Amino acid sequence: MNAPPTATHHWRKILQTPVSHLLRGRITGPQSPLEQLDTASLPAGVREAIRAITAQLSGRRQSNAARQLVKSCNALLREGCPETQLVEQLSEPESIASLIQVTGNTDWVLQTPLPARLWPTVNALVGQKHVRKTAARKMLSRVCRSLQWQLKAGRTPETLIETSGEAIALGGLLYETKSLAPLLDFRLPERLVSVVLDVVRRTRLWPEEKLDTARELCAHFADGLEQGETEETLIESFGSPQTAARLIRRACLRNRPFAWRVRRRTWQTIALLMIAILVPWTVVTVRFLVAQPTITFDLIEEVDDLSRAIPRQERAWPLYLQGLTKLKVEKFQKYDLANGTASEHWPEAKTFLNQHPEELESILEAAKRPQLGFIYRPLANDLGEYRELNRPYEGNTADRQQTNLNILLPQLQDLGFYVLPFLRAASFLAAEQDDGEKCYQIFLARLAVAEHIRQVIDCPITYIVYNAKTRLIAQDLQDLVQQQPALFTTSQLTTLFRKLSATQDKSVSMKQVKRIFISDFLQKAYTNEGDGNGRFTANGFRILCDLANFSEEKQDLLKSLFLVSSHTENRSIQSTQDPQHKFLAAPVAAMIADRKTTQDKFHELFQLLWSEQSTGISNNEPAESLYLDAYRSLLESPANRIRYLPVLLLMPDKTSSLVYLQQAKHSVQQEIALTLVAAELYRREHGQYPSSLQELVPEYFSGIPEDPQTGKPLRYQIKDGRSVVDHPEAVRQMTD
Amino acid sequence: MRVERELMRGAGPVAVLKLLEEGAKYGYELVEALSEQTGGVLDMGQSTLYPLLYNLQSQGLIRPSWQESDSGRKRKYYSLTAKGKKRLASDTAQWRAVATAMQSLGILSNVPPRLRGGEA
Repeated sequence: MNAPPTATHHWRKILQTPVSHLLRGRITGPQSPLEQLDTASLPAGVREAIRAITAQLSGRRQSNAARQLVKSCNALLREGCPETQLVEQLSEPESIASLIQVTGNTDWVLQTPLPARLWPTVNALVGQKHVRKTAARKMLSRVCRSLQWQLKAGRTPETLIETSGEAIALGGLLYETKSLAPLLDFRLPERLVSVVLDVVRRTRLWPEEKLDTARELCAHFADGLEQGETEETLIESFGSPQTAARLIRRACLRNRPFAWRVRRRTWQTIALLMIAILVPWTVVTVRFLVAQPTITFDLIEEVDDLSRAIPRQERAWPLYLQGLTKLKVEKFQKYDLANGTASEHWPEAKTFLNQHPEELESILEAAKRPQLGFIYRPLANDLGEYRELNRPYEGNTADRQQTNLNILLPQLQDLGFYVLPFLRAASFLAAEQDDGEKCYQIFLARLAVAEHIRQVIDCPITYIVYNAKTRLIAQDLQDLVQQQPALFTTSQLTTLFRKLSATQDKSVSMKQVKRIFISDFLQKAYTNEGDGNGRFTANGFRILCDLANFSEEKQDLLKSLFLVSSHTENRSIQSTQDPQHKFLAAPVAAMIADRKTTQDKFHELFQLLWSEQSTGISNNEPAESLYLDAYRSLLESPANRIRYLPVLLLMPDKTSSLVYLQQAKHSVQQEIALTLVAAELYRREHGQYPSSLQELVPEYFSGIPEDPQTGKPLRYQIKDGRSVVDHPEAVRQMTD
Repeated sequence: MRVERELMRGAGPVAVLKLLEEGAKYGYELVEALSEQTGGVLDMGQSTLYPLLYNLQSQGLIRPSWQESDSGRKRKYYSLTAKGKKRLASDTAQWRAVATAMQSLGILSNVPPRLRGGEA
């Protein structure tokens, strides 16, 4: 190894030289703190005494102590303090340094008029292990004060040193009792003081209580020693310090003031209650938060996969979009196209229709395509031309944990509220222009659009809209046939009749409805533990809040479970914001029935609802609805209200169920319209209207047309040379 | 003979009250007196005696006071209060009734057995 170069050594010496020396042009290398201070005015003896103290210290404390001691000594010398007295005061360097170390300051060294030979005793008393500086400073002050009093009372320093003994246990007692003088009365061996300290420390009482106990135990041992007993005998006869401390503490607590005991008992009760509440709450909340649903099917994904598989030339949606783009800009609702010739704005509507032949062509072309091909949720690879052509709808979230009730259906709205009213008005215009072929083509297009609506998604709302649209087409056809019998050829009319008849057979299956609502809810709200059972999850709670926001009654139901007033201004429920929901969600979720029980209850109520909707019983006699009875019985029972909360929120209540119950009404109206169209076809073939419905079987109907609500044959008759059906629903409703 | 803990719990307080009936006593004095006067039967360690004294104090049966002894050192003396005297009278009557009942059953004879301290 090479020796360090001399230049490097020199620079190191310069760097280690204090700045004050460098400023004076001296390169001295590292200096002790005292050497860096101006000590010229201090006598050599004092300087040496300070050096002896600071030599025991290190680091910043060493320099601080040196600076403070020099400053204090200078001040005292200026005041006339003799040098010998200062040297005497600083003559126990080890003890003084140790006390500086423990207390962190030096003020006391020269300010406390104690003989220097007492510093070792003071150090033994104050310099305990694991003591904070602030506590040590306070204790030092107490000890110094106490020793001063003892000296003033006539005791000599030697007596005090002897009384304190080793002072280790006494120091401990000092910290426990915050008092020294009363304990100096007993000249006990260190072992006995240690027993007293052990007991006193374990009692965890107030300092004055500890002092009283310590004094009494010290007196006891002192009495024993006076009686000639040995330390060993006294310690043995004392018994267990732990037991003594426990019993003494218990007895002393009984001696404390009544108010303190009441306060303590109150806090204990509160703490116990908090534990009794918090522990189960924590367990329930953790179980609730860690529970994750297992999603096995995604309806949107299934539908989108089917749409993506349709060849481009068979997709109707891109063409509808072309036609809709301009129609939406024009805001043609102002012409009331939906009411056709009955509209007050029919002349303006006709002008509008004549100005948009391209849009009509585009929509007629779209209607010829077999599949709608709407894509609900874009994927990352829906790019470029594919994206432009198919226009995936971006409003539907990619969150797979939302229920199917949250699926947005913009295409249903566009087809139902823009395309079909436009086509309906166009069909009336064609009829007014006596253009049977064009009118026929538009009627075919209307039926195709209705079929595209049916393709939107396999759920009740789709079929409700589909049935309403086909019913209107049938009624429009019936009106035209009666008003303009020669408009359609027999072939055209037969085709339209057959196509309309075919629409009657289409309805959503119960199994499918169960799957997309009940099974979907269960998979997203519950865990799956493998055996078909599971527990309610945080996502399920989020879904419940969303479901509750569908109606005010359901909001009130959910709010009542969370101790929220139902009359609050902001009605909507935010699952993640309300504090009540945060704290009570887990306990409420814990009371909700498990997956299997909920599923069974869902199926029970759904079966009742389905059968009543099929017959229309709920619509006619809601008071006798078994479904509503079952629903209300759950609602009225406080236990079941929580247990079956998902069922109550997902299944329709009285108000919302009416939407479903329009089905029977639509069926009657369509049946009547088709019967009258069939009667016209019969007339064209046989030269007269059928005298009874029996004559329309089997050529036009497989059986005599019936009222779906009652199951009885329609009341058909010929009146004033025209065929009519006598039924309240036969009154024409022009609204779309 | 060593007395069972439960029995000691019943006998200890009344024994201490009885000793204090003679006059104020300090802790060590009570320990000594209990040991000597009961032949060691009611001999209790200081870890039991002092909590017992604090309990009696919390019930208002005895009153403590720090007094200077002959040696100049301070001691905590306990003396009987009026309430303590009443309790002693009541407890004494009860113990006598128990002793009479024990005699009736032949458990205790009229002449008390000689007690030997420290015998298990």
